Amino acid sequence: MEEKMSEEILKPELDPTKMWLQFYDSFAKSWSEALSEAVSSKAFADSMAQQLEGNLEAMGLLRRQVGEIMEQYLQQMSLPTRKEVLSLAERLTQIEMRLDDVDARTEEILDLLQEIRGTLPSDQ
Amino acid sequence: MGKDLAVTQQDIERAYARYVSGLKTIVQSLDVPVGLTPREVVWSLNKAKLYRYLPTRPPEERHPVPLLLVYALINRPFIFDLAPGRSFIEYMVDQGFDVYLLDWGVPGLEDKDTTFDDYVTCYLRRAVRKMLRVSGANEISMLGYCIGATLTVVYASLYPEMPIRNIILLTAPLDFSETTEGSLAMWLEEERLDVDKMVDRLGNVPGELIRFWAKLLKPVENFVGIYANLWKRFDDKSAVRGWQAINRWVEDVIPMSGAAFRQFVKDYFRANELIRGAHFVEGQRVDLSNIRASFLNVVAQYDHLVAPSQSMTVMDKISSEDKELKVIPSTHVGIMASGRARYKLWPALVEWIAPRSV
Repeated sequence: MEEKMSEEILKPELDPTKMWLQFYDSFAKSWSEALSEAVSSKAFADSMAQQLEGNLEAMGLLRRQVGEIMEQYLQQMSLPTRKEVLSLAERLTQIEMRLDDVDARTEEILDLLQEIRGTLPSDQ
Repeated sequence: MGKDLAVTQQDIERAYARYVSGLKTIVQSLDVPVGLTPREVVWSLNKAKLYRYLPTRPPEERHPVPLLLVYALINRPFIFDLAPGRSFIEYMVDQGFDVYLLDWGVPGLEDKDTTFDDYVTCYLRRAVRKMLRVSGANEISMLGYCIGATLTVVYASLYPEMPIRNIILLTAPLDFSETTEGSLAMWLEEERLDVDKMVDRLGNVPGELIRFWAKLLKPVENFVGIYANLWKRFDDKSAVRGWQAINRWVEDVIPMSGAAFRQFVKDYFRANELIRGAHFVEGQRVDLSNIRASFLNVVAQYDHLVAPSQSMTVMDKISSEDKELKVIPSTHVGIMASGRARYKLWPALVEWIAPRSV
């Protein structure tokens, strides 16, 4: 990638991008202020909220319908449903947490044993 | 006349070549290598991993207090390790710090019920326990960035018995009492966002949605300005490489656990429970006055995602005697990824933490 980036591309005398940049620089500040103000307005926030609400409704309906069909199909095929797989994954995480605690506790016990061994007379 | 035409044709060809090269640079940025500082995994739980960075200094030159970096639940933590020469982690390792990074990983649908507080009690708590074990240190330092700073503060308040020597916060969203400031606040208000419905429908909140919200706060800068900046520095290979790494970080978003998003919006943002001392985790109050560690709070003056006011009031709530608020002329991302960060903030952080890590 470095090699590709290092390809020498000479600057053209007449560069449309440079012209675009000059145009951008001269208007960026005023555009930025105007648009930032626009997106901060209550009207924009309301419109965003309505759009999101609509999307969530449509998505919810689609997911529910597809989910029901898939669940019936998987049950008929004697295969685990998504809900069952997710439940299993959640239980695995719980087991992993318990193992982590057991691991930490074991290390503590080993440390204590080491300490006790250090206090015992060497001939014992 | 003929000569003029020849020049024009050459110009068009060169301009086209630069344009194509620019597009390639943008596309390639999505695969640019990041997180290259050598490290090893010392702990993992579910998708979370604790990395320890391999030291580059001999043991006698290292600071005895290890440093844990905690990043947000949105975006990936390689903002700390963008590229060689632009990596905060590489810099800190070279300064003799034993650096650890907690990477939360990418939540799957099975993690949709992991709450914001679970990240503290189930993950951060265990990661710190392991870090103490692996490092053999008696004390640690923590550095939290963005929501990682919120998690750090909750952890330090909840477990005052843990040996935290130093806390550094970068752009910490903690106090949401001034909700009218900034448009993100408006979009998260109760009458506009039905967070329960959103989480119930989506499970986890897509990173793309959060990125879109964040970008929309500064539309000209985020949708046009970043490409203008690339074009302006197109002949500086080092700058282009840096731009690619940051662009990859911006675009490489991850979903946020639905329950964590719901809790953050409801309890932390809308009810402002943390700063009011009204937040309870497993029946225990999250009491900010439990924080006694040396405390450095870095605020970016031009942060449009976390307004400076959201970070500052914590200074009056903690019990640390050794505390400092530092306001720097930077932005939310620039505080870690800019040239100014490399040459000014990072040395300043070392200057603050090094004498406190002996």
